[in-house]
Amino acid sequence: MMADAPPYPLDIGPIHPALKEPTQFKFTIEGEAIVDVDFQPGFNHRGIEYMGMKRNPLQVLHLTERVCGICSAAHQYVFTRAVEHASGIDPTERADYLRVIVAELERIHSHLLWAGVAGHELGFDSILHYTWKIREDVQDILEYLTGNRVNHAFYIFGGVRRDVTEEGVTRARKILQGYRKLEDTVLSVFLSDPTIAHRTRDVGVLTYKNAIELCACGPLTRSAGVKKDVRFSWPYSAYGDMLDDFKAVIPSDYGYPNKGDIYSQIIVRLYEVFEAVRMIEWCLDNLPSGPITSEPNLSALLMAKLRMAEGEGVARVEAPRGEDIHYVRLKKGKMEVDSWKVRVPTYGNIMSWLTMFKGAQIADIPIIIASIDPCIGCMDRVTTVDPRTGKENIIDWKDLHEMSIRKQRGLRP
Amino acid sequence: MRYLTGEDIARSFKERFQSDLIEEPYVKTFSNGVKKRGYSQVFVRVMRERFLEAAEHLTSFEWPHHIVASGSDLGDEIEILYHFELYTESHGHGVVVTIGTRAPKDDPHVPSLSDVYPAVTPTEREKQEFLGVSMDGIKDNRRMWLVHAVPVGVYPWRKDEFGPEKLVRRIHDDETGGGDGTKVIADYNPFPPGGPPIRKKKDEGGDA
Repeated sequence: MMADAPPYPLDIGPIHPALKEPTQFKFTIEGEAIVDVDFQPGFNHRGIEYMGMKRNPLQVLHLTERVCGICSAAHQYVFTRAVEHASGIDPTERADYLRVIVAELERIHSHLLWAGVAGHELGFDSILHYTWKIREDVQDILEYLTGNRVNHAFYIFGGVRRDVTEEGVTRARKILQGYRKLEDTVLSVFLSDPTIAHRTRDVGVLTYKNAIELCACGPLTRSAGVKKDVRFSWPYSAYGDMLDDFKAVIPSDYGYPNKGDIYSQIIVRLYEVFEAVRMIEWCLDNLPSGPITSEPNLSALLMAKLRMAEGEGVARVEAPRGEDIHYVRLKKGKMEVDSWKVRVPTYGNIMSWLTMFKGAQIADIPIIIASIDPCIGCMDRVTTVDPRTGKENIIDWKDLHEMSIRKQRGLRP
Repeated sequence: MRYLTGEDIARSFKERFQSDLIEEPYVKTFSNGVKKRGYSQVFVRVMRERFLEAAEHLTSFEWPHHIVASGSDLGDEIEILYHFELYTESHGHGVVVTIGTRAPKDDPHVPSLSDVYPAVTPTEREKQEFLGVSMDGIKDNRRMWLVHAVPVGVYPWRKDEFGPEKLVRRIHDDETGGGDGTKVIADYNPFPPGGPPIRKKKDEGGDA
């Protein structure tokens, strides 16, 4: 019900054109200005952690990829490492490098996807088309190296599941070279455009102090000048070897102020794309030889190592959207994962989101929501199905199969 | 700036909390890549009476970056773990510190850390909803993460009678097997008495 006098309530969500996924924001507005905001997640809760605690680590490995569609590799990567930390399994050197290559390829695709979505939210759809067009190249190389565009199934306890071939390396280098050539164009498309600057400068500001106090993560926190990047503060896998050559991307290193607004976030993400290109090339140049996994026999891995492991482990990776952490506990003699907690970057940025909204205008809501690159599907992890919805609305596998056959028949000459 | 190692941090907690520790603080160190540069994580478990003090003790090293709180059902007790990182802006010196406490199931409450770390409120609300443990002094007590279709009094990460087992509809449930939704998956026979269903052959001429 509308209040009689300002401030007025304004609910965005759970389903709203400004949102890509179901979640709810309850704004309090005075005129065009947002004075307060509350946040209600939970509309896409799928019970993944509950399911994980009913399955053995090898099964959960495939579940982890389904936490998120965009950063599927990041979740599998961090779960693999959390189990390794709990069980004492060590990955091989070559695997450490291959893991980083896929993780950085994913960062390129995720950041380019975000850049397109940000352009779309600003009403600048030609940017969406341009970035998603160039994003296809990295998707192609991910598919070539791992076998799939989205769920790569690349990581496994002790290493990775596929090696890269000479041809794969040549193809990857060619595509990375292509991105290097596009660097100036992409940067000028975003950073020289007056419309983008006008809509994003001083909008959705998160100060350095707020970022530290509210424990924000990812490109959001780096845009405020906080050098927080798990890859460099807690250097896992091959990142430890790269410490002398790379560092966290913050705007002031590239001649821009660390303002913590959405414009600064664009700067951080775009420069991270090209930093990721250089990181992958570095990994390809320094790729050690040797086996890709320390335990190629899956039965031995499951029955002798994982089932007999006792302990707990925390692992973190810098996913494209920010810090991703999994906590895992294994019990000796028990096949299932005893305890599993997933924390995705969006979860860590909720408190910052609420600060960023205050003082902004209603028209800025879509871009502020999009700015932290939210992934609600990651953050909520249980869904309940209402049995009252009725069978007629459910298309099961049989129906799909019949539809497929009908379509196929329709195509026959 | 001098960065403390995981061992230094564990020792500091051990000296200060001594008999109020649930278990001896321990450090895990890992090394990856070719250069084998190490990174470490510390686990500290303190009795809940001094848990708030332990959380404040962490700020004496540096303002820590709070990552998340996790929790587990241990049988008779509920364990809550808060994961932090110290030296989060450093270049290769970060240490993950996990501080935890336990509450018995007949008195399930632990102190909230929201007075010390404002960012913990969402994750503490999650622990309340998922484990049925109350956080004393939490800034916002409303239900946040679970959709309203999940009844109050059901806690998804509990492994006892307050868990979600009765809400779970199993894929093989029918009138002959399971059905009451209380059996665990590991014990559940996917087939009704008489073995797996036998599929009859289709008549000749049907669609392949």
